Amino acid sequence: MVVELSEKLNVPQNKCKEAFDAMIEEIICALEEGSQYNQKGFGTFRTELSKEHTGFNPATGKKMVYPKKLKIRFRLSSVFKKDLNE
Amino acid sequence: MSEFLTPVRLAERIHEKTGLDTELAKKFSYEFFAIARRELKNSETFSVHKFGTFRKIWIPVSKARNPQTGEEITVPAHYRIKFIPSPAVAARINARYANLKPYPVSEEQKELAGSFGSAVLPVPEAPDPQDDAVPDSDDILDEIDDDDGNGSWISSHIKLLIILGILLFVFILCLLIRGCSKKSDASPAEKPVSQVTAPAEPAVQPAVEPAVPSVSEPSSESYKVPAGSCYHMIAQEKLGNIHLWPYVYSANASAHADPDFILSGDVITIPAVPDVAKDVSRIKDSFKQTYKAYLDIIKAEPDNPRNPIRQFRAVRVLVSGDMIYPGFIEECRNSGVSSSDIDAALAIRRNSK
Repeated sequence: MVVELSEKLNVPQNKCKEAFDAMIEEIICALEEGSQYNQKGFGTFRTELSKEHTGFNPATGKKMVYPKKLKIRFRLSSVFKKDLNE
Repeated sequence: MSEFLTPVRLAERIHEKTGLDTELAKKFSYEFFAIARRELKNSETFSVHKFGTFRKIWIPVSKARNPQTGEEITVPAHYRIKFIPSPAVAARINARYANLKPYPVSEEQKELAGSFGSAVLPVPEAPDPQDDAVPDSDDILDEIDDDDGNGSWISSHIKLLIILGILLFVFILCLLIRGCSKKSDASPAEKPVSQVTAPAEPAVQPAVEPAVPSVSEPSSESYKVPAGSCYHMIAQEKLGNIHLWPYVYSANASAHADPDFILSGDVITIPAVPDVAKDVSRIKDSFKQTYKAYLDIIKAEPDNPRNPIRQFRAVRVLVSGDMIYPGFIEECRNSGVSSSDIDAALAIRRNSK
């Protein structure tokens, strides 16, 4: 992927790798702070707090209480969704 | 939650970090997601190393109902994209709640029925008689006011005496009930707690506070950690100051080494509320100890994904210290605190001002 990006943008591969890592890191940092990342034509990444709930541990079959947890949610943009379902 | 990171801001940040041209950086994220789109159209999954996997899922035709009109609709079959973050990323996002672990249901029920049930129930009983007594006396006094106009002097005096007697009786009853409830509180609740903490306490005090161990011993209390709690919340609740949490931690450091990690149901010792003006050296030592504890854990577990957060929290400890004793951060400069941490703490402090 880095090779393809570097070919498309005419950027050396090492520079491309560096920028790619920085981009992923920045997106994760933004999500960590609780903000959203919106990429036009692709979708939105945001975090969501799931509530405490009870469930069964699939391995042991015991009933467990699962604590609240922050999760990443990804929502498809409408443009991409249309494109995907044509 | 409402803040957005837009591609433009992302490009600026990439530019700051790598020195890549801003225009190019803008194109960069666009091109990357264009590749992701193309790959997802052609195949089922698309993975990005150290970020996560996008998976295409086929949803068959289903029936649904419009929640506003109640009308039934058929939802056509379609694809949806699910994003599964890589474990390291998921752990970073959930770092705030990483101390919470799933636990079996039966334990929780036992806890509720056993320790809390006996300790909590008698408490609401005590205020009840008081509540009853107050409106009673008010009613009676109202009656007196009414009677004064109509009845004679003597009868009103006798009534007053009787009322005073009743009030006294109610007051004594209240005292008795309170006394009883306290006793009944103490006897079932203290037994299990003292059994658990008895071996822990002597180990904690000499190790943590060798300078002044005798002061905190008589008034420190043991406390059962409720579900979802942490040192910050306990400090706020018990000591009335959230910034004093390292002081609570330092009293339990030998039993619970990780400052971010105490299990619900653990029994910890809570030191007596310190006098911020008098116990200066002890409180400052506890902050330094907590800071060092974070660094020690980072050293012991160099590959842990939580390390950046631990580093940040270590800096926050210095900031908390500075909140209580202005100038604390500068004081730490000569006592083994790295200068980068001090600069970071000063920056946070400046922003907060």
